[in-house]
Amino acid sequence: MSNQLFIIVYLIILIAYIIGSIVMIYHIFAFGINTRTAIISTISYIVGSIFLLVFLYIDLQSILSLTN
Amino acid sequence: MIDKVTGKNLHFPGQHKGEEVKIVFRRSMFFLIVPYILNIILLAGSLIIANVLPASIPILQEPFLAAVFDFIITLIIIFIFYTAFLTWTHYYLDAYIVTNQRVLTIDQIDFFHRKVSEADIGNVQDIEVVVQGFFANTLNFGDVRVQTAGADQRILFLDNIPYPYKAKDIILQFAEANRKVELHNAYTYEPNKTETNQNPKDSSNNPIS
Repeated sequence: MSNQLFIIVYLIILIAYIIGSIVMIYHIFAFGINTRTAIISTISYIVGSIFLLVFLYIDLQSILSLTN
Repeated sequence: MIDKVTGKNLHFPGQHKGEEVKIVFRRSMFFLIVPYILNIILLAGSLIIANVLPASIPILQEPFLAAVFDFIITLIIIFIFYTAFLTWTHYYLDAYIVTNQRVLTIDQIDFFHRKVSEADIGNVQDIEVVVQGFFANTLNFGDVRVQTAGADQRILFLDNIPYPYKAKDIILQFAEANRKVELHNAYTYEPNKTETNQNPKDSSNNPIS
């Protein structure tokens, strides 16, 4: 039960983060005036996000290993 | 050095056919750096808490609670990263564009909330510069108010742009150049010839937003 709760929390955070990121990236490409700036900033944002979300996943794994 | 972007590869939504971006002004970097300093303070604070708190609170040394604590700290760091990028997005999407036809102010108030104002650059009559406050004077940024003449009088606000006096001169130069082109077109206009207007101004067919 506790495991499922943590997994659900992680998934909610992940989905909210992805939706928020898509909205932001859409605005940058749709309303920005410089495509190169948009591409560079989006790539750096995605790389940083993946790095942090992997960290969060590692934390989740350690929680799940302790609740088993 | 003026904070500007120039080039022919710049495009914006609602751009007219044959319209060329001459210069783009943005708000001063001061308005980007201040939120970033706050973000860095918040990040440093959470990293200090992540290191100090488990040592001082014995209950956080229990493996399960320590793991949950790490999870929360990582979540805070993700939130800080997201807000930092959000700040940059707002900074990037607010722009004051001067083209060979118009002056546009684009204000991204929020996501899905955008305000675009424009005026014909040939009608620019008066430009007022307001530099107010300690930071504005020391860091050299201020507000530029562009007023147009004619029946459709309007005022455009270019808020907190760096080097406002230089910006004023640049806008006036483009306005003068536009008026010369218009005058030249008017004198060389031949009704029987196919119209090749170098500086089309028909904004009614292509509204900006």
